[in-house]
Amino acid sequence: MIKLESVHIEELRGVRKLDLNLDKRTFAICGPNGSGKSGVIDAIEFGLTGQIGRLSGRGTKGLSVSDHGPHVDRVKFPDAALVSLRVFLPALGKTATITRKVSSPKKPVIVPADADIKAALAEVAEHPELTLSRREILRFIVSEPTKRSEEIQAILRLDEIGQTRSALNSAQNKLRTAHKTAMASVESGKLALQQHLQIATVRREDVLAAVNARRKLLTLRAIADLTADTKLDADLLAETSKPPDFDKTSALREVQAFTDMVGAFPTLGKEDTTKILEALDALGTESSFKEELRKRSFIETGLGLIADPQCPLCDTTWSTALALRQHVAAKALKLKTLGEQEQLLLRHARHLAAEATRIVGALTRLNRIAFQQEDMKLSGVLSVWKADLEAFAGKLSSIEDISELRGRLSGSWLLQPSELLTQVAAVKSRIEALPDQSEALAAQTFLSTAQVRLGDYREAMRRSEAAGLAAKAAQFAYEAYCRVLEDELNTLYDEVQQDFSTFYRDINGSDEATFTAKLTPTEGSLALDVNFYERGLFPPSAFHSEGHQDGMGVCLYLALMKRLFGSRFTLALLDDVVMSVDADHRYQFCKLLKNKFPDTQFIITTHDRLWAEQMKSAGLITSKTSVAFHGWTIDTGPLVESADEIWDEIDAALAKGKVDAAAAALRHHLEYAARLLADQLGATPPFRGDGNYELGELLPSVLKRFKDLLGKAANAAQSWNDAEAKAAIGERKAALAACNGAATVEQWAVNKAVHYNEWANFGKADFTPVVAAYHELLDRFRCATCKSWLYATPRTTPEALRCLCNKTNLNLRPQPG
Amino acid sequence: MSTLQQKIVEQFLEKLAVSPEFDANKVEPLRELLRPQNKIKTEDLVRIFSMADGGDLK
Repeated sequence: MIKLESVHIEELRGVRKLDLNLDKRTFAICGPNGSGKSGVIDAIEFGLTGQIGRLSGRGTKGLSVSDHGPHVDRVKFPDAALVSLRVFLPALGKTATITRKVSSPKKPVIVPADADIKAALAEVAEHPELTLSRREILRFIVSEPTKRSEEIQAILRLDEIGQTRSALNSAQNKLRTAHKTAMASVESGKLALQQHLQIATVRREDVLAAVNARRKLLTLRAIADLTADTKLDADLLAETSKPPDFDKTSALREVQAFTDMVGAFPTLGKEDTTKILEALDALGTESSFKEELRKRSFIETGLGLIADPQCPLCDTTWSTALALRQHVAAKALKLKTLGEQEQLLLRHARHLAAEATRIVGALTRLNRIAFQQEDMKLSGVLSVWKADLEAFAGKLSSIEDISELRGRLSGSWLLQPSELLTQVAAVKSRIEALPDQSEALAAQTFLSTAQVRLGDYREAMRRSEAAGLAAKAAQFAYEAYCRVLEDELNTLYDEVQQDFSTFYRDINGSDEATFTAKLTPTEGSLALDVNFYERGLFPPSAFHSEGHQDGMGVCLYLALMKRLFGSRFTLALLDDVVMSVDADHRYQFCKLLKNKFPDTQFIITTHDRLWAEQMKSAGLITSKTSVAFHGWTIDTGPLVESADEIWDEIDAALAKGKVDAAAAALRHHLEYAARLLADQLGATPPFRGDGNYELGELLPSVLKRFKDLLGKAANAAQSWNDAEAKAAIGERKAALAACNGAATVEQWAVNKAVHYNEWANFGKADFTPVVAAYHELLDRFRCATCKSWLYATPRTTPEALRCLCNKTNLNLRPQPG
Repeated sequence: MSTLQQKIVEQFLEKLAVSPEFDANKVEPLRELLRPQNKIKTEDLVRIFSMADGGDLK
C-alpha cells in the first residue's frame, strides 16, 4: 500500500486551497467543528479512490461527488476541484504523484506512469475502508449481528470470496444437471440399440447373438468378443459393392416407437412441471426468496437465545417467552421449508431435463430416417425442435433460468410442432411402400444400423462418463473451497477476536484488565459479545458506556485492518474517531498506535485541542506533523493557525479587491490570536460560562493584561536595578504605545467604526490601514527572533514573560523587601 | 483481490493439487482463472471441470 508525503487540495468540499506536508508520518488536524477537517479527509479519500464516503451509502440519496464534491462556489467548475497527492509506495520503493479532478474521478493522472505504480494505486482505489469515520464505528459495534456481518464482510472483501463460492456452486449445479442429462442420453441410446437388435438386455452375448446371426447369413466371420474397438459391420464393406445405409424393418420400428412416445406426451413430465411450479410459487420472487434464505441461520440462532419474553433483537416484550419462541420458531420453520422447496425444485428440474434429453435422442434417430428418405421438410422441423428441447434442458439447472421458463412450464412444455404426426405418418407410409429388402440386404442394413446405434450408445456412455467426472470434479472443488473458506474465516475471526481484545485491554487496562471478546460467525451474521467486568459475555451496548463502545469500534477496525492487510496496512484516515476514546485512556491509545502499528501512517482529525496536545506529548505527532484550523469561512476555507502566512493571504485578497474575504480572514486570525494570547498571558475577560468569548471581549483584556505584565516587569527590573532589562522593557512599552492597533483596540468599546462587523462594508483603501494596524499590534506580542507568541509562566502566579527561544525572558518578580 | 481472498484461493488450489481425487491438470487453468482482478464466470469453471481426458467405452 502507500504512505502520504504531501497533499495539495483545490476547490474541493470546504477547502479552497490547502497544502499539507505529511512526510510519511502520522499527522493530526485539529480544529473546532465546521473548521474543514473532514473536508481534508474527504479530499484525501477522493484523491486515493475517486470516491467520497460521506457522499455515498445509506442516507446520502441525492448526493454525488460530481455535484457536491467541488467547493459550493465552484460546483459548475468541476475541473477546478482537484486533489494532488504525493505518495510513497513502500513495496516498490518508489514515489509518485496522483492527481484527481472531480471532472474525471476515474481517470487520475499518475506521474510517473509506471505500470507497477499504476497497479498499486489502482489497488488502493479499491479500498475505501482506509477511511474510518465515527459513523462506521457505530456500524461495527452497535448494529445487529446481520448488519455487523455485512459491514465487516464488506471490509474483508468477503463479497469477492462469496462470488467465487457462488460461481463454483453454479458450476457444480450445471454439471450435475449435465451429467443427469448425459445419463438420460445413455438410456435413450441403449433402448434404441435394444429396439434395433430386438434384445431384452444389452449383455455382450445377446448383442453378439443377434449380430452373428446376420453375419452368418452373409458368410462373414463371427465376432467372438465385443470390445471397445469392435465393429459390428466389420468386413461388410469389402463384401458389398454399395454400403447399405437403410434398414426398412428397423426404420419402421423406430417410427412406430416414436409414434408411441408421442402418445405419452400429454402426461410426460406433468408431475415434474407441477412440482416445479408449486415450488416457484412457494419461493416467491427470485430476489426475495434468496434474501429470506439468508436470514435462515440468523433466525435459527435467535431461537436459541430466547430466555425471557423480551425479544433479544428489537427489545419488544411479548406476553410470555413461549409466545415469542413460537413466533420465531414459525419463522424458522418457514425458512427451512424454503430451503427444502429449493432442493425439491432442482430435483424435479433435473428429472424433466432427463425426459427432454430422451426425446432429443429419439428425434435424432427419426431425423436420420427422414434424411435418408430425403424428407427435408420433416428433417428441418425435427432439427429445430431438437435444438429447442436441448436449450430447454440446459436451462433447467438454475433457479434463475427456471423462473424464466414459468410460462412454458404452465402449458405444454414440449412445444411439439403442429402436424408433426401427420408428417411422421407420411414418411412411415413411404417406408412401408418400399419393396421388402432381400434377406441378404436386410442383414447388411441390419448390421450397418446396429453399428450406428452401438456407436451412438458408446458415444453417449463416453459423454456420460466425462460428464460424471466433470460433475464430480466440480463438486469436489466446491466442497474443498467451502472447507478452506470456513477454516480460514474461523481462523481470521479468532485472530481478529484476539487482536481486538488485546487492543482494547491496551487502552483500558487500568479498569478492564481482563477484558475479552467473542466473535461468533454463523452464515449471514456475526455476533459480538464482550466481557463486562467478568460478569459474563454481553453485547457491547448492553452495559458498556457509549465512549467505551466507540473505543471498541476503533479497536475492532484496527484488528480487521491488521488481518486484512498485514504488513501492507500503511495508511489509515481516522476522521474524528479518536475523540471516542475516553480522555483517561488517550495516552494508552497513542501508545497502541505507536507500538502496535509502527509502520502505519495515521491521518487523525479531532475537534479537541487538548487531545491534539496529548498526541504530541505522547510522541505520536509533533508540531511539524500537525496542523490546527482555528476557523472556516466560505471564502477562505479552513483557516490555518499560521501567523506568517495569514498576512500574505489577506494581502492577496485585498490585491484582488476582495475586502470581504480579507476581513473574514483577519477577523478569524484575530480571534485565534486573541484566544491563544488570553490563555498564554492569563488575561481576564468578563467570564462566560459557555466559553464563547467575543473578539471584542478578548482583545481588549489581552492588551490590558500585556500592559500590566510589562508594568510588573518594569517594577521588577527597577527593584533589581537591572538597567539592561529596564531598557528592553521600556522599548517594548514605547513600541506598544506607538502602535495604531493598540489605540484601535482601546477604542473598541466606544468606536463602532473599528468593530469588525463593519469591516466587510469597508472599501479597500479604508481597510488596508486596519490590516496594517492589527498586524503591527500582534507583532508586539511575539518574540522578534523566534516569532513565537509570548507567554506568562507559571500560569497561576507568573514570574516571567518569555518566548520559546528564551531570547525574550522578562522577570516579573521584584526583589523581596 | 484482498489478501484474505488470495490466501483462500492459494490454499484451495493447494488442496486440489495434492488430492488424488482431483485431476491435477485442472489446477493450473483454475489458478489462471482465479488470479487477482479476474472476473470469474460459471461457464469458465464448467469448461475447466469438463476438461477430463474423457473415458473410453468400458
